[in-house]
Amino acid sequence: MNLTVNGTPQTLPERTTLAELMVRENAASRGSAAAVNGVVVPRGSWDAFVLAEGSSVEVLTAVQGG
Amino acid sequence: MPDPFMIAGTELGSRLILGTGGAPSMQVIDEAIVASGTAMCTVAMRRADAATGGSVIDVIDRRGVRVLPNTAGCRTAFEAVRTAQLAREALETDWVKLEVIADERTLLPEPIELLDAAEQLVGLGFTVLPYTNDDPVLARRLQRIGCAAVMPLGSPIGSGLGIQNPHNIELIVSEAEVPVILDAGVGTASDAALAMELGCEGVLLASSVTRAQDPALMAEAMAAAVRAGRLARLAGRIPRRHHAQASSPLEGMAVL
Repeated sequence: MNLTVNGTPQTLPERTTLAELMVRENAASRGSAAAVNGVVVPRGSWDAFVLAEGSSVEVLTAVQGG
Repeated sequence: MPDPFMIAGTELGSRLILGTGGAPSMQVIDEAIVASGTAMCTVAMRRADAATGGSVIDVIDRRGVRVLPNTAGCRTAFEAVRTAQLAREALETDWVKLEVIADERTLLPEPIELLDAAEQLVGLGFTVLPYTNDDPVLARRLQRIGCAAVMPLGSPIGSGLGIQNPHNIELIVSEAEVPVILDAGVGTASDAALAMELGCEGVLLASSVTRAQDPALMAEAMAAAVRAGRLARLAGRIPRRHHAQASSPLEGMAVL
């Protein structure tokens, strides 16, 4: 399954969940969030959220900032 | 004398809000948090793969300080609302420092998009603290739509030019029904003290501490300045006059 994570093309196993992707991206802990195709997915829904072919995922985390 | 600092019904233990941007290391942030006595620190939201140098959230959490995510870098209301929603999920807080900038060179707030974003976020249940121009009319509009504070700039972000238009800050304060927090432009302690003397309820600063030669020492200076300025504001300064007014009695002078 091909999709885009933070602008970079990635190939992932079929039926990968958002929760699994967040672990792969080292972004599963507090401070991180995800949007799929521009829609924010609440943390509580990551386990049940199965990623689809062609999806665009943004994985964000808190960093230093004013 | 009790003088609680309240935002949206929540008391913060310090009137100094510390931005974490610009610090060379997590250790510097940690030392600055402690030295400043701050009760709230800002963070930005960025792509996870761009994050480096450890987790700022770990440092903030360890010190028991409240986190205030910002929408730094956003140019449109759409981007800012999305970023605030991501921050809410990431950090489990409804509070957001709303920042919508016009361009990279000035980093000045984009007022039309800012007001739009603020209105949307208030509607979505956020506690909105907008970084705004030192424009009393825009500040009034932001209050009217339900922002929990207004945060006018003293001068451009990171410039260290201090408060360029103290009259506007005073005017914003005089009309404010929510806390006014000076955000951006502070260069050194006297700028922070002046903000408080003008009637601001708090000061938000980052670069002046994180980029100082000794960040922890400057953080301590800022804490003292904010406190001194607040006390002076409460105490009520003497009016300015054009001529001298003796403080020693004129009566009873010896004839020499």
